[in-house]
Amino acid sequence: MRDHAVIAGVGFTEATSPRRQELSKNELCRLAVDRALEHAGCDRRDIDVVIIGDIAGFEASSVAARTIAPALGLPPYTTVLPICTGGTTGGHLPNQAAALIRAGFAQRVLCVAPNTFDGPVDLQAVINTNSPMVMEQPLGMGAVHMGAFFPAAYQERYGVTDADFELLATKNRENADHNPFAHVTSALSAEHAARMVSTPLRLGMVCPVSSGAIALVVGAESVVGGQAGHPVARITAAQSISDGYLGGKRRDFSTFEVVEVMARRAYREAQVVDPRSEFDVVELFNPYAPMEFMLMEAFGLCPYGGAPELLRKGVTRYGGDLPVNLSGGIQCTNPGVAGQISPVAHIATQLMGQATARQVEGARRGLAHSTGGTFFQFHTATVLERVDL
Amino acid sequence: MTPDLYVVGSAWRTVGDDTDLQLDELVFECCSAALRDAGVRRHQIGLAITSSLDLYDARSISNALTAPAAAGYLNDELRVEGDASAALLVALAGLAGGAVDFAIVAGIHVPEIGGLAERAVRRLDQHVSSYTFDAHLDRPVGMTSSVTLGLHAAERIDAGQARFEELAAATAAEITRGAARRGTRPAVTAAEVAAAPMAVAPLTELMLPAASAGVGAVVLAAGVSARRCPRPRARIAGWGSATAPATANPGWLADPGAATAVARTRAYAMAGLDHPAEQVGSVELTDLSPALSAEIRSALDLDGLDAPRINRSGGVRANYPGIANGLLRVVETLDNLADDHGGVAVVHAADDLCGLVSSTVNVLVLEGV
Amino acid sequence: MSETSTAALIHDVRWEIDYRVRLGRAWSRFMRGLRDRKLLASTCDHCDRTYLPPQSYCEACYEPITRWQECEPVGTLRTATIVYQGFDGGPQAPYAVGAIEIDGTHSLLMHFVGGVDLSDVDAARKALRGGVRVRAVWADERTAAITDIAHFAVAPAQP
Repeated sequence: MRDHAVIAGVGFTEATSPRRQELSKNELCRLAVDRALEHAGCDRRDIDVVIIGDIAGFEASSVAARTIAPALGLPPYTTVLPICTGGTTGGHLPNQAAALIRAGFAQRVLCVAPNTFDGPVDLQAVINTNSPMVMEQPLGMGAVHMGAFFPAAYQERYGVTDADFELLATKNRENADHNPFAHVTSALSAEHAARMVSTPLRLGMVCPVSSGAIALVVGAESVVGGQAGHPVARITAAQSISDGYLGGKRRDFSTFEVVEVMARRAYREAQVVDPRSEFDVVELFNPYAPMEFMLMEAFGLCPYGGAPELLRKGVTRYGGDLPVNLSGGIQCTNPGVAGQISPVAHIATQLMGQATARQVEGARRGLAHSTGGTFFQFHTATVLERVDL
Repeated sequence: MTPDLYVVGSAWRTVGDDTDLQLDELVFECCSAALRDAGVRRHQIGLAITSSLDLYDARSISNALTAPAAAGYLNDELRVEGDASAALLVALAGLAGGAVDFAIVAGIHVPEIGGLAERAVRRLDQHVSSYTFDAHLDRPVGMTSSVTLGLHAAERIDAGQARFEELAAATAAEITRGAARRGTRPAVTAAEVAAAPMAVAPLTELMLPAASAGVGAVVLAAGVSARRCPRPRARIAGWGSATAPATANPGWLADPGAATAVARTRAYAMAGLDHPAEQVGSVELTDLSPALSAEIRSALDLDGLDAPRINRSGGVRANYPGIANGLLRVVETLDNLADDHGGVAVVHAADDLCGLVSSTVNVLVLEGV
Repeated sequence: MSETSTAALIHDVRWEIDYRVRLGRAWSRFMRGLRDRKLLASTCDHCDRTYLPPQSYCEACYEPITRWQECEPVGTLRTATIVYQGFDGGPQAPYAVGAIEIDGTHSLLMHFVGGVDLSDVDAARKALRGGVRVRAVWADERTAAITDIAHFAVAPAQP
């Protein structure tokens, strides 16, 4: 049976640093799954497919889905689908669940986004291997340095100042103060936040390494919609886009060029005509704070170069008419694959009227994004709409 | 209603030491051949799904390198870490759900270890398999994919359900049959199989899958878009999927065909196969050891199928390109359908990242067009 | 039982695999060119896009590439970042990395940018603005690797 796909249940675990995490990866995923199933009013015996994301090399076991799935208490022979696309892995999980449900291949899909970063002794060294081997890695390009290229070019092109970036990072930390699942909050010391990492990125603009897991129950609307006991979030667009391999393929670092292409497809699919007025709430993947400005522009939420002004006017803050990253975003909490799925998870709870952070009253439609790969080669977009059943 | 989905083109390339191509160049070569075979241009493709593993490709997020080569540039793209048949099912979902009209699936298994001889490839695959097993309970005690096959075969021989000489004879027949097709091993006798170096007792090296390197691609399409292609190869009439139990559950050893049976039930119901042994013209199995063959065949409800219809390509003991195996089984099945001038064929594919443990099995029913 | 703690145990887990990676047609030729102080690009037969680093196929129009050309190692800096906090196994910080459009190409080459005093952040950022012209400085010892170019110098150096 083909049907619309809806997110009926969301399960978060409290984020902390990997050092302070007391649960094993399997235990943490199980906890997130239990919460998501309970939230959806769904019995684990009814799950058809479980989709589990990982990032190879970050974990003690290759294809971590193999070791995590047996810990979830699912029925025998439940199909396990392991997905790995680097930094968009988490964003792909709900999108792929929607594909299976829309195709009629499954009625209830469990998405599990584990805490990817708990394993490595030296995480940064592992993440740095993500820059293209042979051609670009020998040039001292680690993750944060790839991340710095974009805001550097953006600043230069649009005259955006370091102060604009700092204002943005502060806004997100204040948002995180209201999110019980956030890791870094405005308790971060100003001195620490000001340290230059790679121009123009300062430590306060760079995400922490977090531990936490997130699970979603995605189901056929007519099957799971009535069981949840709360509004559900219909996935009305599920898109991804893949750019060329080398960083040099980006051409113009002052914008996320391919996001503009993906956004057009997502809006076509979800019948969004004027994104600025049609979204009530937005979560954009921002491991480096300035990305939020650049993504707002590529998603057509404001003109190119116009995002800082929206922040200064309060439009993207809580209470503004286009709040962005009310969760605090990835800048405040980044547990790997769980971080990548978190924009979708936070938007879903907003549309259910059960926001994890501050609730946008009457929120009906939201946009969630994730990105990753070398020089942000991959992006995903998910448009979600509230359905009352 | 079963969605109307087709394989409209395919390409397979077994990769040897003589290649001078980088991994993405191999993928481009194979995927562009599949598109030519389909009579489809890259810009018609809406979805590119890849099956690969960073640990074979020696690169972090290796699909970053291969996606543009697999027609994924500016496309919806996804990498599945499992047998290529799982990637194929994901692509089918995109078609069946109406998201796209054409999709391409690539299976990539070209370990970056300098040499691609069978032993070298198997050594890496087993190394990676050990890393896939649980780091605290299974890996420290030497569990790998091949070890699960050895455990199973030993149990069946001890229980009198299999005989070493029969396993050797069946293996020799398959390898010899495969040598005339895409097999990577030369023809052998049963005595040679029996006398080959012991790998995981009681299985000799030749009884293990013929580890090889290869890249495969298939182009899939929906409905009229498919039927308007110049040479639609097969209609995908049914599919099913299931994952086998984990290490601690005795089921993987006691009944390794159980996940196959679950997947088969769904696939046959969708395809309307009610007397499979009479309706099926050929089957390509992923029976990872000769001691498994009978159990997998029963699980597919194909006990009565004539021997010449089973693993006509020689199966996995003739050529086993690891994670890309599912696509090779599909490509061989397309050849079987062509040889039979149509009819119905079954593909059985299962990943062996952990051997029989927690293996995801996919069963496809293909109809000649 | 001597162990009575209920705190979570920690196991050390290590992966170790040795690889030998084949660079293939395009990158092998490119790297050998660098060894001979030649900067080689490839141009798509079908759409005329010129790639540097070169490639043997065009992902945009999906056609094979067979045309090659040598480029003057001169280009325009599109953007740069100055790394003050590096990483283990990486170069000694501070260092600057730039995205360089070599004249006549349709892609960007990533490389070190040298010839600028990095001790003053603001001055260095001004010196490494987009639009600045740069020229390759070849390494004395070349091994067919991307680092056969030592860096691109902002003040045009003699080749």
